[in-house]
Amino acid sequence: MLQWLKKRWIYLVAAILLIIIPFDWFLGKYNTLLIFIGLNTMVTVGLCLLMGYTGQVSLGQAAYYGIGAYFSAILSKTYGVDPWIAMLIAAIITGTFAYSIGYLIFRLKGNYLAMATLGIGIIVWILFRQLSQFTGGPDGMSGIPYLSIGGFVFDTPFKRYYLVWFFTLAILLISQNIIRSRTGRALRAIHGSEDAAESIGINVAQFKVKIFVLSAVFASLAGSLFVHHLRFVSPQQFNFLASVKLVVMAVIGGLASIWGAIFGAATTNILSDELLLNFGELDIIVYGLILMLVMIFMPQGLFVKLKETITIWRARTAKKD
Amino acid sequence: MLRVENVTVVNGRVTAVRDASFIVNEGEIVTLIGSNGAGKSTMLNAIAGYIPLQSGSVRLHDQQLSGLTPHQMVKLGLAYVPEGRQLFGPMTVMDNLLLGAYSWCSEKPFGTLGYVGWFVRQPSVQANLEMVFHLFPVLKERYKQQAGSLSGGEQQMLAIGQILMSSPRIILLDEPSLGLAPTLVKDILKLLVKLRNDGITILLIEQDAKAALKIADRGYVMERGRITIEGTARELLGNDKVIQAYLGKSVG
Repeated sequence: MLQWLKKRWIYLVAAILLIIIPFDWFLGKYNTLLIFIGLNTMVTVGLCLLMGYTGQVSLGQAAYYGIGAYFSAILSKTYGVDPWIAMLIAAIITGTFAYSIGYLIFRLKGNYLAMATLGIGIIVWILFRQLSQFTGGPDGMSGIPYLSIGGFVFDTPFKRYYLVWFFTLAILLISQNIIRSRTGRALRAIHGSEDAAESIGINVAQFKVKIFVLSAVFASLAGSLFVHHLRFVSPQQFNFLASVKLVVMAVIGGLASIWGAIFGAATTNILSDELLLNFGELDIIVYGLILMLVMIFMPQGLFVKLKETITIWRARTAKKD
Repeated sequence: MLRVENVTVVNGRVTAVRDASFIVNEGEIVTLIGSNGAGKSTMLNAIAGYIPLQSGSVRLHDQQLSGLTPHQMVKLGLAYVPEGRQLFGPMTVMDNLLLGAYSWCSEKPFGTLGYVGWFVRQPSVQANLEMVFHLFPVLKERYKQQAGSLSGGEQQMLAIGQILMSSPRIILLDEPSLGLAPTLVKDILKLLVKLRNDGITILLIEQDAKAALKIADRGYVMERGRITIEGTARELLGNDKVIQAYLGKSVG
């Protein structure tokens, strides 16, 4: 037991922190921020799988976040569908949409693929604005119901913190397992060389579409949780800047690092919610700068770089002792 | 076993292979020789499904191969080691080998919680793994090492080992000796003979025509995309034209 504790103490500490964080005497006043960090982590993990492991770029991930959000909102508010079922339907619709899109656009590579995903992101955003009889147009929709289990309603940020982080952790664990399984090996192989992956029997085209669908479904789930948290949705939340922010999160966390996604989402959210509020529209410049700096100086991501530095530092101090 | 009939391949704007026909019988080592640019690599690429055929057909037993994608061919037992051995450098030797068995080993799609996928490997995969480790003990010693950090010879061994993991019936090898020290080249060629004796069919392209013909059963000479001379390895080694163009005069 002690041995186990010695090796895994960090998990224990993380688990305890995760549980006590939302209490008022700790970080309770930041609950909303923490919920957004969780939601963004869910989307970012999908992006990490897609960009870091299969090497495919998506500059329109906010679209899938948005589709999940809007379908949840419309189904549960306008049509009175149970929010959980709405969430499921939204995820299925987003997945189907991503599948048909992916089937078409994954014939493209590199910059062209990035452009295509960007284009789709913008088209979806325009649809959110223009289909106003369903979506409420540029003003958005409000009064979306809370999620609830039986009689238990997730009506305070405190409760929703646990709900969101339950999903976030589940998605992180699923992703972690995908990476470590046979599928994950195949993904890393595709990232290494598509031709070589194909030559050992991996159906590269199909894999890319599958992971794309998975990342879209993650985003959709996050979107559903998002609308049931804010109870409000508007197109502005899923525009191009939102997609760029998601990419920034993935890059800061390290594209090929699942747990880095939390770090990336946290840094970016704290930046945008607390530090960049006075920058207004100029914040996109800051994100661009961060993206460039990280890409140039630590292409493996800030989180991975930090981890490496700590390992080296620990090895050094251990030697001195 | 592998039957190539009247194949023409256009690579970019160049007609790299013109109306080429040849066969590889089961349990043979067959080699294609020819100078640079004769169309040998294009031929292999076309057989393996990376370049579409302009005309003609490729059959493995009775299975038509043209139109299939490379990953489908692996499932049929056709394995291809391209020139420059495409390994996955940042991944470990073990990962590279397990990837070789990708097309038919089935782990649980999501693993289980943690790294259990490693242990629930299928027995057949395990058997192949042991076979490869038996052939290349050095890979067993270094299974945790990154593939990119191996020496050139070890990488070639890994590339062949990876292919063997897929239990192939026929292997297409493009220049396995490229960039290797002469002693290693000998080892690799010896290994090919051993694989042939174990019942694996091999189609080999080799810059060093002499060495290739020494281990091969039969050979074809390619010139400007056409197959001009064919015969058993012994015949080709004695053919005046072949000696002049590819072997040098010292062969007697």
